[in-house]
Amino acid sequence: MVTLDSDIGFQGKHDNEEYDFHYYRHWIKFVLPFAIMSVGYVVIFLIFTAFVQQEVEDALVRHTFLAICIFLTLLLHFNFLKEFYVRFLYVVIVTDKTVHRIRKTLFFTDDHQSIHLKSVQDVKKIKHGILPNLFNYGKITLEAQETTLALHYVPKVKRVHEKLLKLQSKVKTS
Amino acid sequence: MTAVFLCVGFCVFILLTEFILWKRFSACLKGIDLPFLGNSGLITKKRINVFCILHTIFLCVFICYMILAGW
Repeated sequence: MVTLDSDIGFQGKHDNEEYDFHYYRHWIKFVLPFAIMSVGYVVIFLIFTAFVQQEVEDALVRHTFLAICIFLTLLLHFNFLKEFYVRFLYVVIVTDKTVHRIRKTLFFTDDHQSIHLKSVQDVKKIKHGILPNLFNYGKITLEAQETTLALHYVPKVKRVHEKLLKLQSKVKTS
Repeated sequence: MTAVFLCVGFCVFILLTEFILWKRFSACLKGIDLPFLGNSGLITKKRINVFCILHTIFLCVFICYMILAGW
């Protein structure tokens, strides 16, 4: 959770709202692609080394195996890189009046969902399981009359939840 | 000789793909307009760039090793 100057500008900001804080998804979301890539590299390397030591005579078999190994390595690598970049393109920005969720991918997605705190009826915090309790992350849902905004992998979920409740009550009383 | 040509070809392919992905990432970041990757904090734009360069070098070396050893 990061706080910057209140007059900071960002995509979709209204003129009369003031920035409060923003956050990115919890780092645990990034662990799985990293683990897949690391394990994948090790497995490919071990299989490849074992195959090379066999000294296969048939060139076609050798080249086919090499092509498969290269293809899998590139796939692992670019999948990891995509996840790495996308991590920084999913951001939730909270202002004194609105919650903005900006979600982008490198080529296909460019979403911006906002919900006014005035219209929010319920702010739910969900923190189930061992990992969320161990690493302090969870899910927050903002429920309005016709729409729901679900925020997954919220870091320091308790603090964010409390802040949202405070902002909501402030907006409703003003 | 074929193996060397393959190495060069794959390295060029990797560099191009990395560059395209990095360019798209920069364009998407500009679209958000939030200066979150500033000069403070653990993760900065500069560190992301360094990480991507190191990752590219590692991949090129790994692929070249595979081609030269397995061809």
